[in-house]
Amino acid sequence: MGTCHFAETFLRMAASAEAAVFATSCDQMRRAADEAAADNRGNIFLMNIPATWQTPAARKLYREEIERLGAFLVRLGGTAPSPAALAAEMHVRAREDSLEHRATAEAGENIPLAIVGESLLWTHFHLPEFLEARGVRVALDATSDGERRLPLFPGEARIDGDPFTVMVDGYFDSVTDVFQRPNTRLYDWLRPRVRERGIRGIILWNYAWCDLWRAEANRLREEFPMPVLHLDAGEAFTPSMETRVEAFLEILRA
Amino acid sequence: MNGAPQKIRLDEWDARHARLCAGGLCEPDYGGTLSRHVGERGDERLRHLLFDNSAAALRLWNFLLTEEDRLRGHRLAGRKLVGTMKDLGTVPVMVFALPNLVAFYPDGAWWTPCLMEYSDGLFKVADRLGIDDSFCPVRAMLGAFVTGSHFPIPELLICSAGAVCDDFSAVAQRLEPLGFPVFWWEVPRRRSPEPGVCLPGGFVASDDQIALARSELGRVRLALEELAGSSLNDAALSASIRAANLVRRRLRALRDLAFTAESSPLPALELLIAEMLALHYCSDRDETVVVLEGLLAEAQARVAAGQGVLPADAARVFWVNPVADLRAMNLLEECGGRLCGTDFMLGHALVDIPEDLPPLEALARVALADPMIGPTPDRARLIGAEMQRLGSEALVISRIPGASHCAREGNIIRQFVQENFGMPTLEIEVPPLSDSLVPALRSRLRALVETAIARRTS
Repeated sequence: MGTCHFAETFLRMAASAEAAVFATSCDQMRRAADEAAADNRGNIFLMNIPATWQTPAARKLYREEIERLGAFLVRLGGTAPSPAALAAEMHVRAREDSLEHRATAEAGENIPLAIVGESLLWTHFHLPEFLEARGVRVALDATSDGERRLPLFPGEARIDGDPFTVMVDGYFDSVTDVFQRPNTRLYDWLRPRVRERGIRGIILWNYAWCDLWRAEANRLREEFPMPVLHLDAGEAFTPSMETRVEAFLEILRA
Repeated sequence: MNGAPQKIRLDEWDARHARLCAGGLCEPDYGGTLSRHVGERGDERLRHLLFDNSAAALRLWNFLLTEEDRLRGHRLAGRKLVGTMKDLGTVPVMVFALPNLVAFYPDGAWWTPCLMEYSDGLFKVADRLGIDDSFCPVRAMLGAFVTGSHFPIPELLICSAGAVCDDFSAVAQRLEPLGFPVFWWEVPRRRSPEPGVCLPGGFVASDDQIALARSELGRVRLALEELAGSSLNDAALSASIRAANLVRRRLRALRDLAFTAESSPLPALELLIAEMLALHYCSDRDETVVVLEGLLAEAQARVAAGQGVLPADAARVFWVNPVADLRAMNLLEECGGRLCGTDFMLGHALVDIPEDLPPLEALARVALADPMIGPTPDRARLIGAEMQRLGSEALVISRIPGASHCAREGNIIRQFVQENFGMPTLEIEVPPLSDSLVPALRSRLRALVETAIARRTS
């Protein structure tokens, strides 16, 4: 009782993996890592992601944690990439079409909707199809697996000079998440995208017992004058959730 | 003057107060009958509690229940209020180093719905703001800020972030768009085991984490200096650390005596309240020392006289986490148990802050000694060691409803204690008003107590 399904699922998956990397971005995952460690599951790495982001100290902590993660991966048998190899990989990432571009390109007649919140699990992956079949498209994927997580590597030319620093800064500066304190970067990121893409409704996707996203439900309503559906997700996209989404879509269409 | 130690009801306290006054009891300006808090403040829960009958306990309760008056008095006197949140014990040491600043924990509002038996309406306010009962009762703090009716709104809010409970962090974050800006400082999640510096209390932290905490406290120092309009130098900080250690030493002496005496000289409820004084001294550090010395003297006198408030054969129970309903402490004793060790999530506020280090370094180490920011197995080991030291016979883990840390920590701690010491353990959940659950809680606590006592002869 009281455990978030996402963290629980991750913990179960970690049990059968050779190694697992947890992050401190929420108490649920932090303590899931404790449980994995207490069960003597070896090769557990808990990456300390700072909640604050305004200070050089937070950036330094993040960099040190990336270095620690690298050392962990090398201990597992990995090989540290040369600066050139790292830079090459980053160039590829920098040139990839982002989900943001794709979302814009797919703009059509359907009602544009944003999904904000935690990552969908594989059992929920049919949600976008479910929405599309009902005349709604996800024009903004602001879940933790969506556009928000894409790192920015500004100034590709810098990559070749010091790729590690560019990578660390790229990720650190791109993190816009609910756990950050203050979490203004999340709203700074959301506001222009909601406006530019003509978003007409928001689904807040959070797992039961996830306090961080749950606490944002009212804030989202205050911030964006449009219908917001708060879904407490569990293991599956259940019929009752489908009914709630259907009702929400009716409101959007009205 | 105090007579035989016993636990008495609120109405009995009024008569006793009159007798004590007639006998020459000298009270501070916040003194008086306990029952007045029911009429003046709506602290209805007091009617359903049992209290220690000593003058020292009366002073403790009156000190606790008059804090709002004290805060308003500080403001009238021109002092600025700093709301320190979540770190439990470290930042107030810095605040009290500046004579025109006073610290308090708005977090303490989590007991208001219990004390006022929900007549405060704070949870309803939090509900309206989207912070419902899936969150820890600390959500009452949000209601207290919005209504402004339970503490004066501080000039500055300082909250630790990072390795903290999700509920608290979410509630504190909810304050910002409502017009209560927060100064956030990072507390890293303590790693273990790895080579590093031994912290006060026994945990270990790496040099880089200590450096980060030190640098963050440096930012806190700047924010306090700006508010105070004066410099916060190392000499003032060191003096404040020494003063904090005076409080902490008295508390440790009180706890050790109460937990190890043959018969418990003070009830669990008063011991719980006393521990809370370590956090921000109930807004008056000097008076906190006086209150604690009174309790310690009372406990010493009782032990010397072979007296206690509970039978000598009461089961010695180590209690983990503070209870949302104060009545649960009475219930433990009603079931035949007594407190023999606690981890109310504030162990780092009880240890000595090193006095031989630069003050920010010392405070950084203490901040990182917080049992809640590191691995739960580390906390479990510390609990186990304390149980051994104090001679505890059983363990109660009290879940805080909705608290993010409670979902997993209980199993880890219980498993450790059972496997390493073979002691009986129990996990319960105590809501802010537990009346409807009392029969079930009573049955479970009695079973634990019986098991612990049976093990003495087996």
